[in-house]
Amino acid sequence: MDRSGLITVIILAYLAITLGVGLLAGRRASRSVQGFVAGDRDFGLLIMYFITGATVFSAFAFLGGPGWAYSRGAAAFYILSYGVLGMAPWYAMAPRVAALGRRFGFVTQAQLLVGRFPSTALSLLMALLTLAAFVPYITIQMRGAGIVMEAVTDGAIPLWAGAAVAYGIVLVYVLASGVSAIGWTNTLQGVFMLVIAWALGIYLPHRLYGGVGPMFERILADRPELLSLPGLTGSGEAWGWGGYSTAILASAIGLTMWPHLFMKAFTARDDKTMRRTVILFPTFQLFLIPVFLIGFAGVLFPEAPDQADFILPFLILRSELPALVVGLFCAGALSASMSTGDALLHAAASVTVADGVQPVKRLSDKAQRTLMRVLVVVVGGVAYLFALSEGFSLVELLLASYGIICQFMPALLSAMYWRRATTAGVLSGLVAGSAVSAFFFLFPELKPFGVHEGILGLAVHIPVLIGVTLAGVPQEEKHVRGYVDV
Amino acid sequence: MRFQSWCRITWCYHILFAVAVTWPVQALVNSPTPFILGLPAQMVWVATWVLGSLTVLWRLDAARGRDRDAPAMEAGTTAHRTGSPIHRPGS
Repeated sequence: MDRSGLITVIILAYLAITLGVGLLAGRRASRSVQGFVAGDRDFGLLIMYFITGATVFSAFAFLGGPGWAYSRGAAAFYILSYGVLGMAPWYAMAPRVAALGRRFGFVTQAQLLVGRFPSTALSLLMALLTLAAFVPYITIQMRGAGIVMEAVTDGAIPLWAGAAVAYGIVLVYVLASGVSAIGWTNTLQGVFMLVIAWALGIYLPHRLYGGVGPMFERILADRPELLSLPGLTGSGEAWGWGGYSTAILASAIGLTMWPHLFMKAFTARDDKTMRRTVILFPTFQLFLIPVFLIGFAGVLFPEAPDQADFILPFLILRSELPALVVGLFCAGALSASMSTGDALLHAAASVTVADGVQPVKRLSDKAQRTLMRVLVVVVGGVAYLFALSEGFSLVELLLASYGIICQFMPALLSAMYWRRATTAGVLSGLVAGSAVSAFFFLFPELKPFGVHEGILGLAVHIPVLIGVTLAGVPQEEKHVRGYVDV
Repeated sequence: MRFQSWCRITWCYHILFAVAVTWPVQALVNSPTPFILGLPAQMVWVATWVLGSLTVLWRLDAARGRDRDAPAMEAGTTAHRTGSPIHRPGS
């Protein structure tokens, strides 16, 4: 068999296994909304560990991480810094979120918020903001899958076909098995990503420079600016400390609040499982080190790819690696893309039905499940159309959505920890914070010290939340106790 | 050590972590040399804080196991108000 034939066979075998695992996983789950969205609240430690790790590490980490290290140097270290800071609060928060989920039957983030602060407007606003943040995120995952397939098959599988095949398979298993499929496929995909990243991260520097140490010594001699924090911006100028530091804070807060991760607290079997998942997360975070090594290995490579994000497939194809390794790499990159994309698609559909449709028009359990399935296809289709169109600056859109997701933090903390908080306060804070965040996204030159727009939004959000709350009438003590005394 | 003490240590550790990897502390720890295991020193600095987090959370969870009836770690809220005091001499 020739080289590209072997690569294609490995990719197809990997996709077939993923599909099989995804379909088998759903056979045990109940045919209810709880089964589809929260896996009957029965995920053990192994699955929770990989579902968290593989969902956090997306195509952005697998392709964007090396891209950042390659083009922006030490700036990439911010990705290493924020992950644990974003996950650690879950040790305290997750058991509480899960307890509220069991007590009131919540399966989404907005349901928890609206349970404490009853308001249809709040529910619709949360659904809208979540969807707006998800679509660019899903689009990036699809493009990532397409790019990898196109690159390693030398154009034999073009971007549109690669994205369509990979996400066609995601659609099939998400539709059939709901969140149970995501749990088991992410376990498979997580193992794959870890092994491939560490193997390549150590192999490539050895192959090209004779070791990790010699590689950094040469970079320090030839391009010292890449090894000095806060690194460079995308266009190659020096990045500011304000931008670097607040990128860490905004990303950490955003990670804590991403709806698709937040919802996973409703899927764990017990509190112990969730706490263990949080404790073990730092081990997944260290997987960024080999990812950065791959990017740094490209710095002094004689040729350069058209875009920094292509550095990983670019190096793979030019290092005369055996076809088997290239095929496995491709499967690893697809894993990164699909393991995030499936969770996002599933969450987008669940949130739209539970928070966007249910508050306005009550549906039966069966109708909800059907509508969620339809929406998985619709959201997937919309993201696919975006993925095919060139010229959309998706990474920028994703950064903007982090600014919006940050604004969920004061609202959700108020719902679970602040007795005095009122519906009016939370709603006005959320509107004000999102507006400020969107404003500074549109006019980045007005940002003081390059501070991330999400942090600027919070600077307005929190005073508005506190001010409006204290000016209003407190909620009934009995109602509040159900949420704060858990 | 008691579970409550580990709660406090955990919160303090992660606040220090956030301070250590942002301006101005990270600006002081900004030399790539000496290379440690071949990696730039700043990268090892951040990775060390990540590993420290693993250790602190692990110890916290172990302390929870010892103080089985300890109230949940809820920073400064209901746990302190409604949770029963822990009577576990020697733990």
